[in-house]
Amino acid sequence: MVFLLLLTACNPASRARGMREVTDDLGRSVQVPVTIRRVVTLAPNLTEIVFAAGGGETLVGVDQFSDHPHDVRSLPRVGGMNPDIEKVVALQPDVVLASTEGNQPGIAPSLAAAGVPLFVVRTDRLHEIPAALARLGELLGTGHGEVAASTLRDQIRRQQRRRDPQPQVVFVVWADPLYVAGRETFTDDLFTLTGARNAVPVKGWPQYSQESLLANAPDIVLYPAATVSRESVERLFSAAPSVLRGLQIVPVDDNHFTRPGPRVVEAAARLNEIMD
Amino acid sequence: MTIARSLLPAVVVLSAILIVALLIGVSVGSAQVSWRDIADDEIAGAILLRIRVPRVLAAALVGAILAVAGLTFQTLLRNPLADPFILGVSGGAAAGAAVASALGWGRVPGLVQLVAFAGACAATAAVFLLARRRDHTDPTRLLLAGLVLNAFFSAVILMAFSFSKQSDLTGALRWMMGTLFGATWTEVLLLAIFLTAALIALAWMASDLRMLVFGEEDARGRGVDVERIKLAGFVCGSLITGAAVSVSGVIGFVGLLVPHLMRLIWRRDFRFLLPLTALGGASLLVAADVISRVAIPSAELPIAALTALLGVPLFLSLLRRDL
Repeated sequence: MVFLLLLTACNPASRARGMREVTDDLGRSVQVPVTIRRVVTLAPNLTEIVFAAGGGETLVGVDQFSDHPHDVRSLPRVGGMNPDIEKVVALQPDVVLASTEGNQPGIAPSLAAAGVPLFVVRTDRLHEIPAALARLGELLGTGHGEVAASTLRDQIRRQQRRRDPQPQVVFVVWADPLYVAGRETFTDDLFTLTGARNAVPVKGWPQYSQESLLANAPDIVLYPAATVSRESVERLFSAAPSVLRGLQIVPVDDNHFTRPGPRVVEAAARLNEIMD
Repeated sequence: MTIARSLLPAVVVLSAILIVALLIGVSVGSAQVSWRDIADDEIAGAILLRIRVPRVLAAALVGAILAVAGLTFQTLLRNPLADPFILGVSGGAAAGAAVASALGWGRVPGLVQLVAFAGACAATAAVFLLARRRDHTDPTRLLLAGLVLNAFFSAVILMAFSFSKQSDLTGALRWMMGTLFGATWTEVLLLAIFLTAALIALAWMASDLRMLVFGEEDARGRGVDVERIKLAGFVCGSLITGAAVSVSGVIGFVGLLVPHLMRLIWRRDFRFLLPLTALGGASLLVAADVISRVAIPSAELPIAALTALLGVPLFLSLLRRDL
């Protein structure tokens, strides 16, 4: 703690400049410098959003999962869901960006104690992703956020389809025990956008029942190729061979489907490619 | 003969409770399917016969195993706190599963289960060796060794998590949180073999185990080979715990709660407690699994959280009366 206080004390940059008050997506009011020059992101989707909003040069540190665009690979890493607070503070950021879903609430008091402002961004639903582009563009003063947001909205709109009958889709996050993308998530929004229907009737990212999986049998099962094996997905349906035979099991890039950033457009395009 | 006669009413009552629990278990679930449809609806048949029934039976067997293992360890150590978790047996299984998952072995079917089983057996061997001094195994030292090993296993699990990819981590979580998701007929068969073998072995040793209640010196005076009984009992308890944990992951409180409940209701005689504890443990876990399957429609509640929620108040009320 003393170390954190010392670091803040020798961080005169943010003291000298003027401060302004902004409200983040949790409704917290946050004091940030008028001009933001140094940004640390704590989630990979936020890193991508900052780049797309034109704020890539302001990034001085990212979380361990950030891998896109290529430029971020040389930036200092500050850890995962439980970031290394000392490392974050040592980077002397003007603002730290965290996401509502992926980050621990416990980091807020530690950062506040070190005098580093924390701005929380909500990207749980599809429409919140372009909104986040606009907001972060404005926060970072890139002058490019609104343009990037409306471009992304256009790109998303171009993926809109109507299908009859609607293909029933399940996105398997993990196979054993079974976790899936439920209703009212951005992945669910992607299904709706592309004319499909989520076969999972539960909200959020639930631990899903195997009985319900078979009772609401899907036409298409998507799984992240990097983390889930095809066999483990097939095993979920092995009790009902006729369902398994009629099933289209498709590996997808998990970074597009489970990371609510600008590349969700590619997930939507992939969905359309699968179903067209 | 007299034992059999005085056991009969209790066995009948507990068997009836278990049968009711099993019937409820196979008739409720997140999918609305009827037993009348199994002949002509393939999906209904699959849901009932290949998902629900093996899961309910696995719950019963895991529950019986954990309760019997708890009873065995409590009797051997003459310590009411002893159960597979406190002795580090399940911790060893969970640590084995976590390390195997972190190494990316989760993609080979059955391999992580096998490592979990090996972990449970290794943990028992370690506890026993740590507690042994001059041909004698001291119960207090055993408990302390279990405590220390548990701390070690927690450290191993945390390390495995820190070094593994986020994706492998989810696989290891299965063993930490405990679930009967995806139980298969093969697992039911294996659990049944383990439980039956252990019950036969423990029943065979029951008279000697019963003597341990009076203290090891006393038992030795009555001609019991205490060290051999302790070793045999420990091997039995660990093998079945390993088998249970490798299927369901760590589910707490069953091994602690059920033997105490049975002791309170019936006698403290090991020969009585063995069958009663098995039946009680089976009923308890089937009931907990039913709640975990139906409490939230289409989703699942973690069963270990449920056994703790059920177990803590029951155990506290037992504690207030008499332990």
